[in-house]
Amino acid sequence: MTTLVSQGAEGRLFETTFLGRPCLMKERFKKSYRHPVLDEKLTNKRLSQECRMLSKCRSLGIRTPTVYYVNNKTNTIYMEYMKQTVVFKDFVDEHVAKGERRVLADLCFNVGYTIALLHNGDIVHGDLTSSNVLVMKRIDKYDCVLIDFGLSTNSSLVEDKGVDLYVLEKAFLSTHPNSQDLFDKILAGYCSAAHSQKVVMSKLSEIRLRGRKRSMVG
Amino acid sequence: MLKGASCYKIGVSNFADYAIPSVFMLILEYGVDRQRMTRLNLEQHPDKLVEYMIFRNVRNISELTTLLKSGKISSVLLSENMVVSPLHLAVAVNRALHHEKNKTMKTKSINTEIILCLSPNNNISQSLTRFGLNANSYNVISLSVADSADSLSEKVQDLKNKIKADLVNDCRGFQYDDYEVYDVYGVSKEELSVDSLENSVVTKIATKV
Repeated sequence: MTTLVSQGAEGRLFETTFLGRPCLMKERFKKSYRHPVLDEKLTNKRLSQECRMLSKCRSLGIRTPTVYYVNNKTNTIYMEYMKQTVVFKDFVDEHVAKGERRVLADLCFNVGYTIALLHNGDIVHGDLTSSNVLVMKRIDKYDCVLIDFGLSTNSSLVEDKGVDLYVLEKAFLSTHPNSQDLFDKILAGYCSAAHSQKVVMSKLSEIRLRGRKRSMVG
Repeated sequence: MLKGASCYKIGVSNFADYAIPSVFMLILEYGVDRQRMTRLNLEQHPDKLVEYMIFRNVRNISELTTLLKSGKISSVLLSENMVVSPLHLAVAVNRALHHEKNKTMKTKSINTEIILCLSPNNNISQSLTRFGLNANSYNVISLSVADSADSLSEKVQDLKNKIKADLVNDCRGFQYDDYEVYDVYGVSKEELSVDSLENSVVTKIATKV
């Protein structure tokens, strides 16, 4: 009993059950436009990277979906289906429409704090957008859950951390126009916990001037 | 008088809200749990039948260890203090069955493979001493994997004959040793602040390389 939930460029998401509980099956399918050897290597690497990072993030105190089963033959991960969560992007849209900026400001601070935890553990997410963060309501506050670690890497470079934030900024400001104040909250949350916040912030302003790709001239 | 009457009414409605449904729920839940207790339905391996039992106060541990070593027991015997929940077992069995299917087993039989899959690392002898039976274990969980209902019931009956203990159907779950589990799986304080121990342990064994 599997039903398709959504399809992306990388893979498909199905809903199934594992030991009776709701479970999400993430399948990375074969891409015929790539060379088969390269394709297999990339898919395998992303699968194992995602598994490793999901478990490492947990030990850093970041909530991620529970992994139940990894099938490295079909390149599928079976993980917890968090039905009680909302995608951060939808959450922002909804609350901006309602004009509830106060709740959003607190949540954005929390998101920034979580990213700082991630970077403190020398993990770079690689694809940080507002659709890769889930919002989960705890009793009186909102917690955030990070997902989709397929492109994440282990790196302690300030450059990589800066690019991570820059990608988030680009994605956030283009999906939610007129919300510079909210992104500033994310940065404030980041600075409250990150070990190397000063260096990363100066790097971020440098990246803003030149773009994500470093110039390799000379 | 009116006041009194209304009070009485509130009392009655409270009783109706509380007592009757909760008793009813308890019976229902207990019934469901009892059925679900022993069978693990693995959706990813529908052709396999997996069943577990809890034996408390086992009196013939040394006899069982010799039987296990000579290969006369065809099920897995685990000491209860390291197993967190049925989900924990299910994830390990699922992984072991996956290895069996793809012929990537690191050990010689499916039973030892399950024990290896329960462990946080790839050290076979360490996982056997940690999760298998040892001289001072009192409570034992048995786990039987079979292809057909007949061979499963045969295995279960065999276990019931060989193990001298109280067979329990404990719907409160397993009696595990928290601190030892934290220690063996390396569960940090930060980790426990965001999610349950069960989920942390399960993620660790499922994503093990």
